[in-house]
Amino acid sequence: MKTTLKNRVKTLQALVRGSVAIGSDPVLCRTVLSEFDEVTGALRITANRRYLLQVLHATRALDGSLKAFNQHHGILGSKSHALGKYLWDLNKHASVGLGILPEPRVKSFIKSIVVERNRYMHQPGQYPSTKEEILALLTEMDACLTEVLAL
Amino acid sequence: MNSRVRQALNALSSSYTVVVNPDHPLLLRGPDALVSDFGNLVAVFSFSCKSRQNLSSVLARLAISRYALPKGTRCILLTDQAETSDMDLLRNNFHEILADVESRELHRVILHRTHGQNRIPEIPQELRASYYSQYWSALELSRRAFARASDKPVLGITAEHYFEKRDGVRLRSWGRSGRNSTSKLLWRSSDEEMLVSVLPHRRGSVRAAAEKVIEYRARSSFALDNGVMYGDFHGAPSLLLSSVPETTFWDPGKLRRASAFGGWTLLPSTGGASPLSYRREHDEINLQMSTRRAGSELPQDEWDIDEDDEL
Repeated sequence: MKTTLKNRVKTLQALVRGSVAIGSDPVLCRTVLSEFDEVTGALRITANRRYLLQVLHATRALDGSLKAFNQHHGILGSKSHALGKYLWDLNKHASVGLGILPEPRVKSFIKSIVVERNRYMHQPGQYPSTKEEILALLTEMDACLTEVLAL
Repeated sequence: MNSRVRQALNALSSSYTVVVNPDHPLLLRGPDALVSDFGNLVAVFSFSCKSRQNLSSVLARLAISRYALPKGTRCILLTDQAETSDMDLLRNNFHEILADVESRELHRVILHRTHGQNRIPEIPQELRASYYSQYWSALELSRRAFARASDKPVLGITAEHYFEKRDGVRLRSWGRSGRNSTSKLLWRSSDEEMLVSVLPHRRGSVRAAAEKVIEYRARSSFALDNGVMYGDFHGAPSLLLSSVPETTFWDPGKLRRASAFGGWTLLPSTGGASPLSYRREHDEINLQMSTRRAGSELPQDEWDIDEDDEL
């Protein structure tokens, strides 16, 4: 798993760094890239804490990427800055040349990422019970990021 | 990837992020490498073996990958094996061909960020939207089918047999005989043809077979021009039956996701529904996907969880 996770994280780093929307701001981009580094860095820690840290850093990488992406396209709403909000902004914008993330897809990501993440991050004693559960969450975040970058 | 290509990539400056055999969440087989600098992404393709037999394979990979990669990504082919007769075709679709694989040349292309951009256009936005709509519909249909199957497994009957018996689906061999030949193509005889394929039961063969059907569909159903794959992405869904649990892959959703991105709806082989009922369900989902935007206000239902969303 170590090798595959590292390869996936490196792939995402290459995509984020190379994307015009996020990579054009190297300072902001570096902070996102370092969050990705922490996802693989957490591999040295014991299971439950590792899962929590991986969720934390992966979600910060996703949050940071989506924020920078929306900012670049001028669709960053002024309300709250939260992952769910960024996803809705990608559905409701009127920016020319940027695709729309359809409503069912936004809802699907909110259900599979935001709700799951909040459960682990906000509720005491909540840990992903299996490796499959954590992989499902992390890889769903990967899919979300790549789909947004290609909009 | 041959050793010369690998050497050229290894010799690039360490200031670049270089990923050989990248694991893209939407692609089973995408570019052979990614090279990126801030705001500058290059996808590197190469032939996987000596002969030119995989010319169509590399073009199919390019066609699908361009939809999966961020806008502005340049795609280059590194080869010292291309036949002269193929060069026009390749040059027409890649941002650059480097026939003499040297890192100095590669570095030059990467450095000039607009190199090749005026020759190979971006994928038009409507086409990209249409492609993603197809992907999302296939993914949702697959999700629903697997959710139902877990409730009502039809033990002992594979969909392959089920389709043949009940729906008059015609079975054709697929591929050469040998290790990767276990996947099959089935064509439904009706006004409209539907493409159905069955993944092998042996876990070790699943990935190669899935790559093959994805490539097949791209080659046979769509046209590639100036690096852009054109076609009707809203036609009948292509169905890919699988009896292998998704845990086969490190990324548990990858087979389903990458198949959907390649235009195939992954379905449980014990699902029991007919191809036509899948078709009807697919059309309904497609309609929902094309509605696209929510109302003017954020929906105030269970999805609107802004406050709780904050970390």
